[in-house]
Amino acid sequence: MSSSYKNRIQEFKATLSEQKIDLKALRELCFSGRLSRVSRVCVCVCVCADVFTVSRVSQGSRVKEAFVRSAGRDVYAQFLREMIIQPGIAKANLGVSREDVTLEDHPLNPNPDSRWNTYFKDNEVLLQIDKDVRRLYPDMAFFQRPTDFPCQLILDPQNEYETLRRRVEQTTLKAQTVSSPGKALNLYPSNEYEVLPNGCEAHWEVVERILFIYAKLNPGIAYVQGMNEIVGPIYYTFATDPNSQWKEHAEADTFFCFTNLMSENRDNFIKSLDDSQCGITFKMESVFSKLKEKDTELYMRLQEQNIKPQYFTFRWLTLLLSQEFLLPDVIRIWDSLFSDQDRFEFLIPVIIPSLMFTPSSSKRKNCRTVCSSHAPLGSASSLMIDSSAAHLARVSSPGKALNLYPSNEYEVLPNGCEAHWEVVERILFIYAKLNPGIAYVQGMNEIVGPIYYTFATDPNSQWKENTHTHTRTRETQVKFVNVKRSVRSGPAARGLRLCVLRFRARQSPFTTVTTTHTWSVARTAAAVYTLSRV
Amino acid sequence: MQKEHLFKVLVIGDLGVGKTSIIKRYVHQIFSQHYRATIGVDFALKVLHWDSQTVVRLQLWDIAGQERYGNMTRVYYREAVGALIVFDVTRASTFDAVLKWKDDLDLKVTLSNGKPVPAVLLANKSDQSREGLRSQIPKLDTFCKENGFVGWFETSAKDNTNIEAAAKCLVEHILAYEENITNNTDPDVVALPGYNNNTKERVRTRCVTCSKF
Repeated sequence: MSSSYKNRIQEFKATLSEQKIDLKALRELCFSGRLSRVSRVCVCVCVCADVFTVSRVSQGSRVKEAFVRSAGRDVYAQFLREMIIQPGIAKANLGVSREDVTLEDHPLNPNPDSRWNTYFKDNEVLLQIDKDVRRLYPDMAFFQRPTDFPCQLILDPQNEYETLRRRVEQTTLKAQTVSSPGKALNLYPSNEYEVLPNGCEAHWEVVERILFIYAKLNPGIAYVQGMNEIVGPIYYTFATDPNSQWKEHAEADTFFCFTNLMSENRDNFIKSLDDSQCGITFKMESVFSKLKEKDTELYMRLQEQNIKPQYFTFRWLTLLLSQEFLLPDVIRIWDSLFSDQDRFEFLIPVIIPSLMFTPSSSKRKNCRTVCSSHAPLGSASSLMIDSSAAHLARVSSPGKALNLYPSNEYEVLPNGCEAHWEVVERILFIYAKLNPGIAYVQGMNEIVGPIYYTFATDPNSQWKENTHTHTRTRETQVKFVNVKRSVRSGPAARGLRLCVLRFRARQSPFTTVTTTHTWSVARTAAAVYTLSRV
Repeated sequence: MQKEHLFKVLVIGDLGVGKTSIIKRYVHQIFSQHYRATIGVDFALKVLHWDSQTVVRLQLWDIAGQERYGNMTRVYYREAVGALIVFDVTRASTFDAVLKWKDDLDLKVTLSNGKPVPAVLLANKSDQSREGLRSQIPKLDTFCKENGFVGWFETSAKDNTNIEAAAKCLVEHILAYEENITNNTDPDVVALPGYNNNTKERVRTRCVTCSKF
């Protein structure tokens, strides 16, 4: 860890611990983004400092205190009671008293005030939320894992309240999960993969609850696809905080951060505002007019090819770039985004340079620190020539243009540490030495990956440890040979081909980032084939 | 001489019916239960070596299914020459929405001769339905005829059923139209863009039984 980095952290901590927090200084620190390892605090502070507790800060209290204060959390608990528990109880009670259906409320009651009616209406929204949160950040396991702090209010062992997940499953999913026998291998009996034991809940269920409460409180917007992608990073930031106090209240805190963020941002999500001054169309147009100003040539090219801002800027703007990057990068960008004075106006200067593929110093001026270097996007020119908008998807990742991490901070681990990819590198090197006829062929890494991952993430630390030692390395390697032989046919071939693991991410919780799905496929396939042969 | 075509094909249908899965299966030969919700629009390119003389580049536009994105579709549909309309066989409501999508499509985009763009109906997630659609075949055939679909397929992105076939069917229709255009360009006929014979003539009555299954 470099001393300048340490200094920055010191500076940051000092800023936070002052009696009256200097919001401007804090913002500047966050904006420069040199705090990647404490950035989880940053995002929270940034989101809340401005929108959430700014009044309190100005009264001289401290952000942290204001934030930890439980007032908001109590309010949230009240929301849960009113909007999730009560309707559930009401439903159960109503279900029992069938005798006086004519007098009391009943499921077929057409009256708009009917509690049953509301219940069914809510289920429609809930179903949409459910579909999306289950597939939130599929490239990492986090959201599928159980939370350390399930909502005790709802999972109360004394009262069997209906969880949102069960509510959705009861209404529709039951009919959907039937799979016809014989077709496709059922690699994971669904309950092993999806259902956690009683009293547990996965992180995605927490996010589901947050979105549901938001939808109930804001019926004008309800739920719009994409909100999940905004809650995701915020919730992740809280729920992985080293301080368990923050972790515990992640749900309520996320809810308020999200609500406040949306108060600035919600116009993007409202269909009827699309064509108004504050709507998304206007913002998309302004990206293009800014581009016209900064890079007329590119702008003309896009015009010529009939490439509309709607084709790509829509997602960038509404999701604040959260789908364009891996989560750690998103958090980094949001630090700058939320701490910038112009707030979301800053998004446009972030986007523009990523579009421009001819860098020149004059163009850089406006791009601020974050975009201090924008490498030429080679594929952008091919897009122009090809006019094939299909290429947009690849071109459009602005990440290439931004130098987000001063390279030594992000990439190099401290002495005495090694990243998982280094282990894999060693395995492949040994294999190449032992098999000079094959040596190394691209793609082998993709095969070692899942196997190594399986061992290295085994809950049994003996296995884990051994993966790192040289002997196990050899063993893994031997198994690799076997798998390679058997992989040519059978379902494992399909399974293994699915595995594109990312060992790029380093020491962070992302070290072993992978899709749970992919992971299970890899585990099943690797286990079947290694165990049957060795 | 080799001919190259670039066709813009839309993939539309309600939220969560498997549009992205179908595209990923078709283009990358992979399947996952967990694709993120599509926001706005996404793109993919599939190159088909149709025959020794023809290369077809299919530009697939994966369009967000939620109602909120309705305002955007006019821009997204521009210059499309074909469409795959998808519904989920396990959810009747997604089938009910098929006509809504078809109308939206025909309203916002037409071929250069004013005719609606060819559309193929995909009954997706067939791996999850218990008895399949065998009993529904005649009804779906009628449904397609009445509503101007060029055909329908029971598909599964998971099991890779019929996706190639559906795309092939669509491309055949697009190619047939292209050849038609190049062969009989009648200088005396002016095609009015936006004017669509078919919408008006289309029989709007739907039989009760086939709207739910």
